[in-house]
Amino acid sequence: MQSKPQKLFLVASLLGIFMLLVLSLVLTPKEISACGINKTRDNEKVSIKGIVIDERVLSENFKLLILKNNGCEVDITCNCLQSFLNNNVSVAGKVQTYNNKKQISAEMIEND
Amino acid sequence: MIEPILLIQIAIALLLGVLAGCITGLCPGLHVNMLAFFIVSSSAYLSRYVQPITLASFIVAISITHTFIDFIPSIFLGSPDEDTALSILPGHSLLLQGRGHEAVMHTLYGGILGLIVILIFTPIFIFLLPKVYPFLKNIMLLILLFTSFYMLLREDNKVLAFLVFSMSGLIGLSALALPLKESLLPMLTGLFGASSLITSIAKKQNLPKQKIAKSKIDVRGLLKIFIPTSIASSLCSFLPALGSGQAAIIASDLMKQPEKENFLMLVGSINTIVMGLSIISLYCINVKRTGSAVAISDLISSVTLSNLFIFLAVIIVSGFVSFLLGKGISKIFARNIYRINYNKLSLGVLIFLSIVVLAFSGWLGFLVFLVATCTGLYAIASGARRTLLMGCLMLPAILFYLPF
Repeated sequence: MQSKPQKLFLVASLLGIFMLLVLSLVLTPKEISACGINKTRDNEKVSIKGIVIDERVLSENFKLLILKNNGCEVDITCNCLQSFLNNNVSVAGKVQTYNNKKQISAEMIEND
Repeated sequence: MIEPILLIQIAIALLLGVLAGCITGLCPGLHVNMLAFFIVSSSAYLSRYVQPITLASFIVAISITHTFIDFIPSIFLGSPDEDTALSILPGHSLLLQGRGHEAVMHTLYGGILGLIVILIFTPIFIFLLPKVYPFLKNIMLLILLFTSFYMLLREDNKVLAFLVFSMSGLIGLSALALPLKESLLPMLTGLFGASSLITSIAKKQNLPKQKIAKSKIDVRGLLKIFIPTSIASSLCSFLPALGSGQAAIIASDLMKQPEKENFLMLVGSINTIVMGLSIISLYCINVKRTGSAVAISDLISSVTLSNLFIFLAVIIVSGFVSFLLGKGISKIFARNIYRINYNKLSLGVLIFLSIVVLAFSGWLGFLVFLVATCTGLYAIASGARRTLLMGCLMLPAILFYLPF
């Protein structure tokens, strides 16, 4: 038998979780251009579109993709098996700094 | 052979790192990673004056000190970070018995045990890790599934356990998917911190005068936790998706319902071991399991054996210094906390945490914080084990490793 506060917390949690799930589907990360990557902050979630002009395997499934967008290039790291070379892709991920250079750690990559 | 000037630089970096680690450990919401990445982003400027190994030693010292000191706000104020979340409940119940300082001392002794485990496991890691890591990485999904099912099946009320695990897992999934900065901060602060603070405000708890007895090393307790803590935390220091929280669950289950004191020692040791061995793993398999390891690898692209010896020395010295500082700071808290109206203090901390969440994660983060607080409150009100709330990290990790 659940007490009144227990029921209240359960209902509030379930409604809140539902709302967060809907928001996570509706809200997409801010779209940036490769030239504007230096204006972003570390750990900021961003999305970017462009063409993959180079692809290097760093270790096993860990790859570095060079994405070209609006005349600028940006490094994308991903844990991915598939090759995206010469494909137009949409990337969503977090901004990170590596060797004083901003890059995007991809959480999702889709072919356009 | 290290040059004397470099040795002096490293010693200064160590002392400054310990001081900075005390600040990050004591301030709720100030994570060691923030400072580590600040150092990395300033390294182009700083490297004109000091070598990268000095900056890396500074990060090692902050990281180890943080694992010792962050239990103090967690136990006295009920404000956790991701590594100390599980210490809140046993720590708080000892605080209510006037044994808050003793609770902190257990975590500090655990930290010292952690330093010994790091020394023992370093040669084992150097020899074994490159051989076993590829195999363990391939069965990561199985390890995560086994840990999750084990957490659920050991509960008496399995439906409630599944509900709490799933709810926190869904919060984790949505928090990671939302365009948030510092997505873990609102989620963990809500699930573990705010929910405990609201419960203690609702119960109108007043703290008794805290006892500051001369602390004795509980050798039997340390021996009891030695094997479980070594197994669980060494695995969680290099396996992806398993952190200090999961290591604490595995280790406490290996001990079969440890007493509060032993549990606190356990979480104290695990935090230090996971942090220390994650730095060692950088040399062995080049795996970056913690934010500090990522920052160090950004400063030193390839960690050499001589770098490793310097890191080990920094880990041990900063650990012992942090133990002494932690003991002193805990005494100051214990002497003064009962003078303050604990309800007002809890309310103040709750407001402060809300401001921290708003400042770092914005309104969307605040929404995650509110929902996570409700789920944490439901877990407390229904009597579910708080470790089930770790579903917020485990469910997203399981989904990440699914092959489809």
